[in-house]
Amino acid sequence: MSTTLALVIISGIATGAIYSLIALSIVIVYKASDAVNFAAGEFTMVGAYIALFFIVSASLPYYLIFPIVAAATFILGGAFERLVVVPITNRTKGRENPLIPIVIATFGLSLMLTGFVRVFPYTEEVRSLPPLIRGAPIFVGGVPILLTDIAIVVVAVTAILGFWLFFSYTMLGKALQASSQNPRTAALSGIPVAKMRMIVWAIAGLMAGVSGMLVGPKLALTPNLGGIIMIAIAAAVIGGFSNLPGSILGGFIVGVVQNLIGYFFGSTTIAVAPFLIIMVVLLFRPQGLFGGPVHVKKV
Amino acid sequence: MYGSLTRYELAWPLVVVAAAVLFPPYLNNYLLFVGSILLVYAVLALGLDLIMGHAGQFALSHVAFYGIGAYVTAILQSRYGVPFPIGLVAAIVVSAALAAAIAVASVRLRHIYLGLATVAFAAATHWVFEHWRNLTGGVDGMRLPPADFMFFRAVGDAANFRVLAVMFALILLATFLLVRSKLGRSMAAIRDSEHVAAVSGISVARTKMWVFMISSAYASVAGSMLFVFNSFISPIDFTFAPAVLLLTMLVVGGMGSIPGVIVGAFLLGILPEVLRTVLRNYLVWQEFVYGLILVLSITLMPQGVAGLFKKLTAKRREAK
Amino acid sequence: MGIISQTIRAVGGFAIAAVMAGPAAAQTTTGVTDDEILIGIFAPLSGALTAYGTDPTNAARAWFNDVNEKGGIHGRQIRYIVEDDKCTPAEAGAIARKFINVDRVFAMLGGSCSGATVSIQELVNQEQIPHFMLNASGDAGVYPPTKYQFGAAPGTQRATLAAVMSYAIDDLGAKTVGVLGPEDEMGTAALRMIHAVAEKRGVEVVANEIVPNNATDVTVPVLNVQSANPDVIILTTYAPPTTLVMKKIVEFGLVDKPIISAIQGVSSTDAFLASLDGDTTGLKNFYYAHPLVGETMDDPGLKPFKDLMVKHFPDRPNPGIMGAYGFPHAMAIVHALEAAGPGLTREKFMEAIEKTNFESGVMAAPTVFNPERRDSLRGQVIVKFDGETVTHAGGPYLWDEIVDPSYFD
Repeated sequence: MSTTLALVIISGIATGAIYSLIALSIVIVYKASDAVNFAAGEFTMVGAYIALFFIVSASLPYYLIFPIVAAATFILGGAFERLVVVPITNRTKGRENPLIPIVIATFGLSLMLTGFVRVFPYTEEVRSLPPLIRGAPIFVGGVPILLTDIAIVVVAVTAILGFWLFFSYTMLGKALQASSQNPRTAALSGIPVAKMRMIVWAIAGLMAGVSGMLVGPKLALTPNLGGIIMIAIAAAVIGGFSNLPGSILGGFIVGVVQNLIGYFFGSTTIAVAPFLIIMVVLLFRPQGLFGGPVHVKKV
Repeated sequence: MYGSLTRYELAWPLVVVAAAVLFPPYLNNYLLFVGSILLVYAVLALGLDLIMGHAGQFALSHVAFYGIGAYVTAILQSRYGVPFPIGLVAAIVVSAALAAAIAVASVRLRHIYLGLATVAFAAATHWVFEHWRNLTGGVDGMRLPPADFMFFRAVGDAANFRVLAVMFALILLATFLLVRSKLGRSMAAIRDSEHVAAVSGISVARTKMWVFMISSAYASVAGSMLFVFNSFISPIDFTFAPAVLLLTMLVVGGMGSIPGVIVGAFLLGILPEVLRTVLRNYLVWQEFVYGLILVLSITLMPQGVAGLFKKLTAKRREAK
Repeated sequence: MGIISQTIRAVGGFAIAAVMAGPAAAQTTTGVTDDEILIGIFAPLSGALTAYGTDPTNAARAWFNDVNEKGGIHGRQIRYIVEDDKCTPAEAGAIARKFINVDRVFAMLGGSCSGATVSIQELVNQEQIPHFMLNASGDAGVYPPTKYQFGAAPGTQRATLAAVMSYAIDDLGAKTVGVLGPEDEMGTAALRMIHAVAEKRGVEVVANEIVPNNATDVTVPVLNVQSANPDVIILTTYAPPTTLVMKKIVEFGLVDKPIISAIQGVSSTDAFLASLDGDTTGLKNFYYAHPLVGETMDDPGLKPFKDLMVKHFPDRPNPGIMGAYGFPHAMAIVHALEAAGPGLTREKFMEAIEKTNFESGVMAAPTVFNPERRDSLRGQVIVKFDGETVTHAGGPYLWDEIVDPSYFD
């Protein structure tokens, strides 16, 4: 394998780790509320700007900024669920599918968040966050691997592992899973399903927000960063949209495939690659690449 | 609700045509242009409402078909001399065929998949507009000749507005007919419950496909209308921003209500003209305000302006 | 402050405008009274492109305010109306018609995006209302020139890339160049000029890689350019992707190769450095093109203009460098109004504007309009930026001296 190809793949893995986190954020909301959160990309953007704000104004180190970003986006996600999603679900209960109004509300939220961030003067110019770690790249078989890239993958994978442990081994996590998978049974066994749904939205906000801290050093930071959501959706579609491990892998796959498409077919195709991926997967393997039954609605 | 048209439904398109004939001499070009934009928005919104409000499916590809309509009509006329009416029909055929392809691929699937497939399709189409340079002029855009209506050429904002108003009246009539047809009945049944609809013998997949095709054709017509009153189009006209604006029109007006959706389209259409004055010193907040309008209306005003109006009249009747 | 009453008034105003403003009036010069000249200003003041509109608009307004304070022009004050077009063709179309038919302006000064300005080109020529673009610089608006539309205050891509290529060939000795840029109208226009100069000077364009404005991972294009091994790398990207590319270039250690950034990849040195998080490793051999007499608003040449902006708009104490682009066409309008004399008509104004030729003090080259020319600025300079200091490297280069305008016909 040529060095160039290796570099292309490695960089794809690092950006892919970021896509994975956002995809995960989208998928857990989808599982809990049956709706796609089109504002997930804006949570990423807001997370990055909160980090930037504390770095610029207070020069706080990352380990202090991390909990601030996590808390802020956690609250934002939870508040949106309480203030917008709950009234919509209550009113549509049993009568119509709440999917459309909730998705529309997330579009509104994405405009609000972008519009709000744009009011601050220091968002007028492109910014970056400092690298997570500084230092010379490590050489593996003559291929340089950046410390930042390693750090991004490590942080993302740690976060993903943390969520997995949380969902599988803690009481709260199990309750969350149960209420997502089968709300009626969960409610019968005494789990406060409504509260659980709020926590899911909050955690989803946190995941996307944290991804913003990884995006910041790797990508250029502008209020339009939310557009990254289309790539995350491609990742989720690859994973079958309700399959958590699938979406994580999907993120890495999109990151790498996007670069490979660019490498083999010219850089003009990179921008359109995620959309082609979405269409091709929906067309040929709507259940995602990782098996599972086809979720064709019985009609 | 179903069956033949009511007197009002027959009257409205006639009123629109009459207004279009009578008013333009009293209006200036600014109002005619804003009016033309409103008519295009109304057609777009009516089309989106068919699939979302009447059939209860999520689709975000309208902005793509809007672009296809504009480009097909424009390219046919300016490069091949095909007059506008024929170009309009050709654009409708192209759009409906593409819509059918998307529908075949995605209507069988889970609810959200049509939404996702349409988002991807819209983005991919935008990419094609930018890259099929020989045909679309690419990112440099396309200068457009005045539309050729076979018998006359519309020149000037007043003539354009009249043509658009007639097209809008026809679309309005078509919408009333469609909602009252058998297909309209099937649409409503699917929106209320796919299961019940299937049990009562309605082919859910086929209905969804037809609705998606028809509603995409509406968007295509709106695109052709854009060609009529603009001298230049470029891919910027067909980004994702108008798609969200369109959603807001439906939500504010009231999904599933034809007068509601038209009111929504008109309200959101003149909003920039109003905000211009109201937010004069806070223009930078506009984007936020648009988002806030969308979130507040979807949360607090589920049936939109149409719903509020219905509630008001119902209360008044009770009071009597 | 009653936002509701304001809304009611706005809606009412809209309705009244509908009734009052009847069919077009007789062909007299609109927008001029004995003591006033009315100008319609528009730019993106909200949405994604706000940064392109806010400061240039303020610059133009500040210039007009200043002229008014000094007694106006032949006893007339300049009154202006400002509108937000969000850079969309639909809103630009509505605003232009509002200016022409409702407000009845004398001339328009506006537009930061070429799509929005080109979409009203036919209109302003039909209505014969002169339209000066604020800081839109797309080729499409000015080539071929139309009588009533004036543009390119910051110079077109022809100006920028002529300067970039000349410097690359003459001073850096480039025999081959590699290009990284977007595939939008700016990028394609830039590429046209690159090829024009390359053809004329016998230089080869060995790589042309696409970096879209919303790029996330630019590894592939950067590596492709590297493997083509050009003598000079030219970036025609906007600011966000320029940041990405520069980060990649540092990552891959390509820092020895000369890099020249064209188009507004570097809006100001401070902002550019902030976008790289202060990392100057990539700036060993870094140049960029710009049309101004200075690189930041605090440079001695630009400071008086900054002071003027801050004086009139104290809420923006640190206007961006792009603000400077708002001056030249405001100045051109004032010059022509003065030259047209006290008996101002639009015909006299048009006669005067065709003779525009002055040094704005803001731009590195003169501002010129004549019957064959609607791009006011044709010159750009090249500067070297090492992360701390900016040094003048070459220019101003004038594009029509480098490639004959007839080449593009």
